[in-house]
Amino acid sequence: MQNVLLRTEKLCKTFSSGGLQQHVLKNLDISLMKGDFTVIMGSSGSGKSTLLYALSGMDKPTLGTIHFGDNEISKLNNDKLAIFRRNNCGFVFQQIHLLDNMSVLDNVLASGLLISRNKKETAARAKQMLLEVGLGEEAWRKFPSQLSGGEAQRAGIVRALINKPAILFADEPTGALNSAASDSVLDVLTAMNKSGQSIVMVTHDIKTAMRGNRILFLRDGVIRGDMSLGAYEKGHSVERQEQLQDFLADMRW
Amino acid sequence: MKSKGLLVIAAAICAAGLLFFILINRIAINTDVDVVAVNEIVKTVESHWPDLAPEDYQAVTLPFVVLDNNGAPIYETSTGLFTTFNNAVKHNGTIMDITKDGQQLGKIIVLNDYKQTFHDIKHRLALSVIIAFALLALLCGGYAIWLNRTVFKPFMRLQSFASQIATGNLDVPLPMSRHNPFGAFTESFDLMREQLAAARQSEYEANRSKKELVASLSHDIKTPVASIKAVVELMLVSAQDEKTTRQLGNIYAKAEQIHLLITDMFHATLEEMTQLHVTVSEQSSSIVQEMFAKADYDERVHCEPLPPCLVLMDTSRLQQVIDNVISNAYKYAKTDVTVRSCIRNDHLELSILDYGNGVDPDELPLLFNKFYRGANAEGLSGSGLGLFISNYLMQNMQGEAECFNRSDGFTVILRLKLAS
Repeated sequence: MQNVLLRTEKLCKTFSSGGLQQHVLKNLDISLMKGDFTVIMGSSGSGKSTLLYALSGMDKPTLGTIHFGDNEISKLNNDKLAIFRRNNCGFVFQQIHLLDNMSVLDNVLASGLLISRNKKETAARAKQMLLEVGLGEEAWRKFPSQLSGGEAQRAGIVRALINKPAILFADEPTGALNSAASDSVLDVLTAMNKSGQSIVMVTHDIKTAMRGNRILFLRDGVIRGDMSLGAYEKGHSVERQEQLQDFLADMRW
Repeated sequence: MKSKGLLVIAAAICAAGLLFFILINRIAINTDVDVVAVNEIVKTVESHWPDLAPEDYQAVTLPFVVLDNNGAPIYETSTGLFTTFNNAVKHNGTIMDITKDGQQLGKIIVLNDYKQTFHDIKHRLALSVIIAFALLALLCGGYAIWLNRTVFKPFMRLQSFASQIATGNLDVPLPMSRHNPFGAFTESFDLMREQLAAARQSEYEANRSKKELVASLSHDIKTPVASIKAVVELMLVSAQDEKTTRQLGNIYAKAEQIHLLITDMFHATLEEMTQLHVTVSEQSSSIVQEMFAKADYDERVHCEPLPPCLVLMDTSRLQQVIDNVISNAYKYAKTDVTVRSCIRNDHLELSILDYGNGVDPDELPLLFNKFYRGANAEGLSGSGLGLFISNYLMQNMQGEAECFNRSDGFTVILRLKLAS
């Protein structure tokens, strides 16, 4: 039995404007497991990103509850929610949002020192993690404008993970990258997951989705399909892709 | 009337204020020096000089100080009275010389005490002002409470009553006392509601009897037609020649046609009575709680918090169902009502529990039938359609209605489908 990391109960999100109500998420009961690489798929407007924002505490659900371990985060106020996010969540977006006038290392440290008081230890960890994602010593001193898209996103991942969050939320992390850069970023995510990092990723790209070991398919705010794949291994991608495509065909992708 | 009493209190406060005004105006403050008393003191001091004993001045009320020629005090009526010569002058003290045999011996300073008098009056004035204001505040508070009780609260009740009427719920009475200012007005309002309910009932009954007439007529016509068919069938068997067989076959076919037409008509009239449109939408379960509050005209429903979720419903139709179930509970069980809810499988389950005598187990399966009324319905208004319509509406919302007896009462369960 795997440990449940995040659990929702009858999660609903409603946007209303001018008396018109749009139910984007409807009665979702989802359990995310520790150590999983969960991928949320769905067409545009199916509520993928809304779900990710609700799960990560960036947005509050209209109805229903979200439990993170024993904490019910859906009833925290904004300040407590911010502290919760800082301690437990890492975020990677399509837009990387590195700070332009800081070097790569400083960008990572700025995030790391929000929590850690030990500058030396944090710097050492940051350097080691940057090395792990393939950013060598000469890249540390570069500024974001001098990096390629893939490098910047990998730096973004290090920044997201520097505080050892329990869960990493990624919203279309490869949406703006070419395929080579995408692969480098996804390899990093796969490697992080192998070493135990729980990841939740939103995407509508099949190649990206293949990296996950659990696929949730969302349509009209409801989970229509929930498929488990084995752990991702390089070289088995053909069967994996077929499996995923069959699943998506069933879902009328 | 209470308003009269309040007016009397207001008038009393005004009168008291006027009285105070006159009294205060009449207090004369005399700041002049009592010349006779001062002369008396001077005379006494001069005659006793230089022995000044307190017992000689017991009749004197004014405070005074005797100084020698060097300005040092020799005698004071109370100690600490004299500070400096300058101070005495500043406070308008009266200063007299003491002379004996044409020789100046010293001075007398008679101190002025009008400041004390001022202080006393100021105190009294402040006290009376405070009392007046406190009385006024008390009066205002009393008036506000009275106004709230007799005007605003009944008006709020009137408002909820009107909204009930507007939604077509004519079974909720308007409880009002005759003694408040709205008494007569609200009573006629309630009469209006009763008239309206009666009109609607009679209209419904007229309509229904018409349809029932059609239904029973068509049923009645079926009987002779059936006999015709039976006789013709018999004759067909015993028919000899071909012509008779053909003619009898014709009669049989036409009789069958009449039978079918009548059956159609019979069903059509019944169907017509149940033409109810249901438009389902996704709604938050929190509005269900409001619906129970709206249906609860006797304020005896205890609605436990509902689990938050999104369910499928037609808000006005669900309100109709809830109105029906709650008013049934009030009508037949006459007890408090408890509403519990939980999520079971794909449905939000609302259990509406009363603590009455329940329903005869034999009648239980018939409750959702059209025009069925239980044995306990004697003397209570109703048509036997409520639960039938409720059940029909719930099914059209993809939900269900169910009911059963408990040892301590009767339960109705409404199931609403969760949105997905």
